[in-house]
Amino acid sequence: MTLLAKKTRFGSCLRLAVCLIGMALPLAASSVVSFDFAELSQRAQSVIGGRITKVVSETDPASGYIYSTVTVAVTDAVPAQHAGREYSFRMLGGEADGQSLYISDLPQLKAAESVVLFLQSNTSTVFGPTVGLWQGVFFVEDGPNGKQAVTDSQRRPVLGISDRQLVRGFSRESRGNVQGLAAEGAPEGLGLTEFFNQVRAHRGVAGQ
Amino acid sequence: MKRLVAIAIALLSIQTARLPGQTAGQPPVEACKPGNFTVIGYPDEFGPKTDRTYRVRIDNRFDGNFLTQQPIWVPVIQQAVQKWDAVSGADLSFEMEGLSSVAANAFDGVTTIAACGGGLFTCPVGPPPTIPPGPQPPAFAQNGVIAVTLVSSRGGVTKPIDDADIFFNPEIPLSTNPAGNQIDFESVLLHELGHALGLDHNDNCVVGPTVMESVIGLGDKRAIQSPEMEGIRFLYTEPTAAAVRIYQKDRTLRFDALQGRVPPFPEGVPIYGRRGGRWLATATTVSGGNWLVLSPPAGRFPADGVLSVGVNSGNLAPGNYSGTISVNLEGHPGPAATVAVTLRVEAAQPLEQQPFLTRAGITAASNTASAALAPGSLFTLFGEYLGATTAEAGSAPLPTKLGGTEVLVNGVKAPLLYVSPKQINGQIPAEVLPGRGGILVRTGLGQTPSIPVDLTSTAPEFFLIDGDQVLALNPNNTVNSEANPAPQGTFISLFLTGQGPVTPPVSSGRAAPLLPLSRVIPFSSAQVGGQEAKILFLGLAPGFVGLAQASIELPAGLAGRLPVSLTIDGKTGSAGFISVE
Repeated sequence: MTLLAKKTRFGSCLRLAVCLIGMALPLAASSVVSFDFAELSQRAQSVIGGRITKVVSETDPASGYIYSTVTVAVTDAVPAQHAGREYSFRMLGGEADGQSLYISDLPQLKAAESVVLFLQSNTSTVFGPTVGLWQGVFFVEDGPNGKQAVTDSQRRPVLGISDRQLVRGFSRESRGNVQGLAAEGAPEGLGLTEFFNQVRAHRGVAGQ
Repeated sequence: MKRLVAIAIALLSIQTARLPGQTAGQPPVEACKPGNFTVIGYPDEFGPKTDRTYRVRIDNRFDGNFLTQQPIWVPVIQQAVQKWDAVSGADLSFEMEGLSSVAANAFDGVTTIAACGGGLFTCPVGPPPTIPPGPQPPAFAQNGVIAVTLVSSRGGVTKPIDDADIFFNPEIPLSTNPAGNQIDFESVLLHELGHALGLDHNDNCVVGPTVMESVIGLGDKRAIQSPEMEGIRFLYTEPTAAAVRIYQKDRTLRFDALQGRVPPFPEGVPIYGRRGGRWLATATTVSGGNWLVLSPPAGRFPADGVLSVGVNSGNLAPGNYSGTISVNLEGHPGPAATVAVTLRVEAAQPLEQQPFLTRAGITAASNTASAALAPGSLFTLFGEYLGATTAEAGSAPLPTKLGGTEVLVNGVKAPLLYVSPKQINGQIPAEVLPGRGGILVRTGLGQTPSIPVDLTSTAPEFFLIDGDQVLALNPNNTVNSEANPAPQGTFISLFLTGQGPVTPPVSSGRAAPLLPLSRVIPFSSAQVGGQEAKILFLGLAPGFVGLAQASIELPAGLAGRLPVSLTIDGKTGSAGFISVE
């Protein structure tokens, strides 16, 4: 068998379309202001990591809205003294009595999930205590190689922080049937310890 | 060699060194439906409001610091509602009830638009906040919430929206006529009304500014566009309209089979309809009996969202066969969605007409002397009988079956640009993992064995013109060459593939977005004429599939025909040449 001559020819078939991008304007999410990782870290009064042990949802009789009380068994935290404690907060949304309440831009938390939460100083807002709603919610999941890795609220692995921004990979769902294949060299995402190191670095308080 | 893509090159201005981070909060690409929209709650989506009527009420305490003059704000609210009401082709109506002192309630069936009077936000005291000058938004208090929509459902099979209420944060600098540091009130309200109707963010479905995009620029104004219109037509289907949707690319299926041999693999056809709807699929054939096989023939949205279509070709005589699959909601009077199926049965052919591929025929598309490949990079395969005919993909997203040919990389179908009997151009799926894998080609006449291939995390290879000249653009957007060198001390844009992981990630076969730009994640460096050159931008070229662009600063004092190389994640691609004067 003879293969074709391997020569790339573009020549006259090259067509150019030029697209100039001007200075980018700041963006806000349509429903919530966008925070970068450094802002998240600095705005948070504390950052906690742990497992959700309980979610209890109930309907507020006055408004008819469903609220959920979420309890987290904290294993990692900045400042460190929060570790080893239980932390509970109330947030809008959930399912109760066969009814559902969906909140735009607010992820719903479930028992047995492992999370990292960026908590603001006022933890009693009806939306819950996280900075920037979903922006302050991260999950901890098993990565392709069985190592635990931090994902954002859309379950996309956090690969690192670059220029104050989160660098994210593909979600497990979008990887589809390629899960389970050899993962040598695949981006896995930051582990919990590395993630908290990044939080400390961006808060500018070493060892906190 | 067949050109890979009708390469149009987007020159990235060097001023775009830093963009705000991509915001999450949008459903994944899997949630997108034909028409480029998503429905709230994915994957446990909500269904449309049962009575298809939205009664809209304005809380008369809609008077936060930024809303001191009702005569300004109320007409804008009415105008936004009218804009949704004006969308044709949706079985949906709005009734404006005006101002009211009744507080929002989760199940009163009325969409209340409220600010601090609604209970979710506290009415501020004291004078209005000062809006600082400059392009950046002020340091918003609390958690940065601009507005939220609460959507309630009593559940059940159809999980209909029973009620939706919208709350604005009175501390946010909204305006009906926004300056550069304000957010357009009507655009945000249109967005929240979209949530109330059942639509979620569509960032992963369509590139460009739309009402349901999760981000909005300060001072930007948004208008309802096709994705939003299609979304509410989907949820609130008129009786005379189709209630089941199928992507255009899936509305035709072609199978090629050999007489008496094993039938080709079934194809999965994603079908879409509003939650809870029970769908029925039927097959009709022109000749040859019931050779079309559907599985399952019925189901309920959204759980049963893929219809498997196969053919029983073993006993059919050589020839061409055609059939049609119709899918519709049970009892729906409107037209069914259809899939046209063609089947070609040929007499068994000699073995040499089966596709043939060797490892030597697997190359990088940019430089066919290189076998370096990475997830997301463009490839070229050379072989024999790789396609029955010559076919080119029309536009992104690229098909994974072209001219009856499929390429599997580690078992994942690769997006294809071009297929001919002797050559295939396509993209290594971005979702596959680096490491030892295999590539196989499947046609209607058979398939190659899986040819081992080593995918590395990155495999940068420049596109070359006539040998070793790198395809590059000078600052004035002309193609760099010896006759047209770039000026010293300026910059040059080089084009390559094999860039590796990027952020935000771009799904396989999809064109890279312009906003946000998708940048290469791993550490990278460039050399020109043996000297380190500063990389101004390295990422995907917007509007193209698998094509990357490196804009680099030309070191001062170098001129002539200079070698250039690029290293990403420790892997250096083949060097090429650029010209500088």
